[in-house]
Amino acid sequence: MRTEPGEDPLVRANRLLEESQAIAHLGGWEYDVAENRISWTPETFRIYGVGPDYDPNNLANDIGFYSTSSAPIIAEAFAKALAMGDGYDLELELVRADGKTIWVRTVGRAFLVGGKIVRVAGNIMDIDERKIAQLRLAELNAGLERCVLERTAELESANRDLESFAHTMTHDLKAPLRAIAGFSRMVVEDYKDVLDTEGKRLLGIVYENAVKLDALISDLSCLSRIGRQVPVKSSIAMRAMAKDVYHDLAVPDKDAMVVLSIDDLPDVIGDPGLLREVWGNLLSNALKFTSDRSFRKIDVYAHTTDAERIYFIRDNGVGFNPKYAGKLFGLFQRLHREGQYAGTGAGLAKVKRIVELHGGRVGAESVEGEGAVFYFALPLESMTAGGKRGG
Amino acid sequence: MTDAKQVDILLVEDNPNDAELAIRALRKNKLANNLVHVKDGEEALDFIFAKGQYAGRNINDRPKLVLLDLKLPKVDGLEVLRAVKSDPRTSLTPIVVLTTSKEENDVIESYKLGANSYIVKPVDFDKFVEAVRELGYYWLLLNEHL
Repeated sequence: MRTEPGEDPLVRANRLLEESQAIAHLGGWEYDVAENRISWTPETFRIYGVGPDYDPNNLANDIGFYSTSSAPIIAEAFAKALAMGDGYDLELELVRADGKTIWVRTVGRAFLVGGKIVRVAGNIMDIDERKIAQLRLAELNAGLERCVLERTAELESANRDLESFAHTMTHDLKAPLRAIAGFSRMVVEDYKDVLDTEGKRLLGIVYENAVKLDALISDLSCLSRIGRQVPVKSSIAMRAMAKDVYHDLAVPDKDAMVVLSIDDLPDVIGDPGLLREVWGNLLSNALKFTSDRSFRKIDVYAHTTDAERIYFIRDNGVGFNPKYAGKLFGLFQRLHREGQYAGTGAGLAKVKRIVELHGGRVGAESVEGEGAVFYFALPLESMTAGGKRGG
Repeated sequence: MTDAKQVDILLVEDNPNDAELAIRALRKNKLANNLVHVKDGEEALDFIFAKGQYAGRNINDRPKLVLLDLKLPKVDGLEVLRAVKSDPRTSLTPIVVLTTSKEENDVIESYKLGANSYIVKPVDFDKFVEAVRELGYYWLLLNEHL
């Protein structure tokens, strides 16, 4: 800052004020009622873009610098301040003497002495850069919102397409399949005297494959339905559910020797229909993959951490090579040769999708030939929320 | 066939292969003796309400059972269902809906409109024969008493 030796303190204060106004692009002005006189500070002249020879003492002229839309606003605000003492703080467009339109913030205040308005004074500030940036930001935000809306609409439409695709798949693909299966069966029935064993076997393969394709299509459409579902949650007694599902699955003669142990399992809040599917798939896998063992054991137990409840299903079956653990939960991924174990390979994909729909996760570990442990973890926070979600 | 006074089953099915399979399943269960097969919803309504090409029929000779496919040309199955179930002259006619999958909303919609039951048309033909047998007997026997 400039220092002038021997400068008068008043002159100095005035200089400082002018300098800071210039730096801040902030001009001052006042209207003295008694004298009917308008005074501007030098920065106000600069904001208006007029030289020091401009006489601000004509209010209509001064207001005339504002844009056509802004002029009536400032005129009214000033009149009110003068008549009723109301202050104002406005952001308006000012057309400078050089023709350039800039945004200004103009603030006015009335000063009273003995209940009478003696003067109105205020500031005018060049806020063009900030305002332009602000407007651009608002524009960008609006654009962004439009963009989000458009994308949402696109996604919704894609979703509808997928739904109708899934619908078409079940409907339109199944009709020809029914014909393939039904008519190959008819040939076997109606021409059993003409067909030799090989002929019947070949037609049997046609039939079986049609039925298999039917199962695949059903699984696909089921998976797509799960993906679109909003879980309807209630409190579930998990131990009772696991037990119940197991007894539905176990075949009396075949599975009577399975040693089943189900620990006390903590209850959860979840969609009962969907979680039943989870138990169904995991327990039927445990039964399936222990089926060729002489001693069959299935253990169901749980573990609670700070964040989640984890349910484990352990069997002493054939297990899987941990190398392929990542593939297990993929759709139509089978780690066993066709014909070795029944199934389309959609079960674990279904399990994964349902558990993830509940905000949880799935996993599996195994030592090949020694059994496997499958688990699903459900987050605790989704349980405290309780009741229904969505609708 | 339309000359037969008493029609046991009206089969409404546009897909000729599905129709043949259904008739075969009915025949296997000895249920196909008095069967009329119509191929779209409009013809089904003409038959049930004894109009159009079936104007000579008596509307009170109700089929004992209607097997109704939902996906039909012209007038679809749900519209047929609505028309039959909302008219007091025909509303007692048992209607069993034929559907591709039990998970379809169609099934719920059908029940809302007054369908008496449904059969999923399975790819596995033996299951279809079984399903037709159970429902056919049930409704035909029940209808004896109406």
